[in-house]
Amino acid sequence: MASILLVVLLAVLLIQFLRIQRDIERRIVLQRNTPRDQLVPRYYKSFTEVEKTLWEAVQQQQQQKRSTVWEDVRFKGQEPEFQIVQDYLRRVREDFRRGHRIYGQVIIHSPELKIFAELEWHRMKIEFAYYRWCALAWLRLKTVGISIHELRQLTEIVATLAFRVRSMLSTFENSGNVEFVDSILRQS
Amino acid sequence: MALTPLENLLWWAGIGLKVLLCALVFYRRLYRRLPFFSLYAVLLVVEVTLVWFVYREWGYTSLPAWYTYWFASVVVLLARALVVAELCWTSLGTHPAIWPLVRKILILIAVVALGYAAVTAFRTSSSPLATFALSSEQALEISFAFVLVALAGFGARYMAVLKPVERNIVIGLGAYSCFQVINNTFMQQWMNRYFHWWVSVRVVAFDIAMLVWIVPLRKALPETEPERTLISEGTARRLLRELLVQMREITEELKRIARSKWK
Repeated sequence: MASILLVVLLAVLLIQFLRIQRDIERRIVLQRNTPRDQLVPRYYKSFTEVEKTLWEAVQQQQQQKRSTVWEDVRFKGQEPEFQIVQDYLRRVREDFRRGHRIYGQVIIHSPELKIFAELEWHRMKIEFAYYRWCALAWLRLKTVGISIHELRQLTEIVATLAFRVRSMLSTFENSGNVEFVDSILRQS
Repeated sequence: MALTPLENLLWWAGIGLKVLLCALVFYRRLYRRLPFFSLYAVLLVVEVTLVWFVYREWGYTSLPAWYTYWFASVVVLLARALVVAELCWTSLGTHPAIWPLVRKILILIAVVALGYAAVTAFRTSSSPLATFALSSEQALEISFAFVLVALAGFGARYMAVLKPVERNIVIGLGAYSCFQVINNTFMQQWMNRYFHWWVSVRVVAFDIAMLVWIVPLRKALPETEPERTLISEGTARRLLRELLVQMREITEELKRIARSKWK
């Protein structure tokens, strides 16, 4: 019976992975003419603007029974500024996925297993931190609401990945491998 | 004992699909791209023709039929193992960091699966050939499923997308392997009395897999140009090492800052 369960799990995984591959193909076709600056993570940079918008929205509602300590303010589903938080989270997730794909495309060109494994380990550390904060953010959104501190933490993780990706691309570009960088961006 | 009309129909459908697959493989010149899959397609036709001929001549339960069936099964199973290895090579062969490791893993899996089958066959008191075929099939089918899932997962994680023909071969092989593991589990536990049904269900599952393989071969295959090398191995090694040094330095610096915060 264990073998049947295992095989069912493998079948589900196979379907899922092949579906992801199909999505990759579609995306590559769709982003053929997308400007290069839109192919790298960029939304996370708007965190300060989002924070400012949220701050202003909270200031206007001070007469309501809400905490005025900024770090303690939580954004819940019923409040008008919740949409801003949700939009921002969606865009940050998109940033992460984009950065994750570019990173993967670069490290797969490693000529040595040792280099590949070490670079992959760095990516996995960011990945673990990201999924942990994502799970926490999801839980908070469903329960007590998400705080600006949690949003900042998530942004920092995505910014770390984006920084690494940018360093990689700049290193390759500065050494004259512009075509390689272009191919990486188009294929991810 | 002769074959029932349903079994006859299944055999004919199987033969038809195998011949069609083999013809399409050669008509589309797939042998240039996937030589082991093409060999496998040829072996399928040879196997089914030979087995069917023996069944017809000596009967379904005769000794020649028994030996022919199991011997042909082992040959085709080994050819399928080569197809799985070929799929891995076509997808991962261009990645010098990964392929040597994958190759070692595949060899290890093959040695363990066949070693297990050989030991099981050696220890059995009944038919060693059938035991070897069944044991190696059980071990290899689950290994195929693992390897194919890992291959698809690798493609999804590193954007190494499979081409349509290869993807359909993975789907067909993966579905058949998963089905066979389930089929063998039921066979072991409850279905020894229903060997005919076991074979028939297996034939149907394989026919479905063949249909999946035939679909992309209906149209002419696009010419695949060899991928241009955009970065030399030496440059990639040098630059990635530089990046690693940078990453290590940043990590150390962050750790140092974190430690100084706690002091």
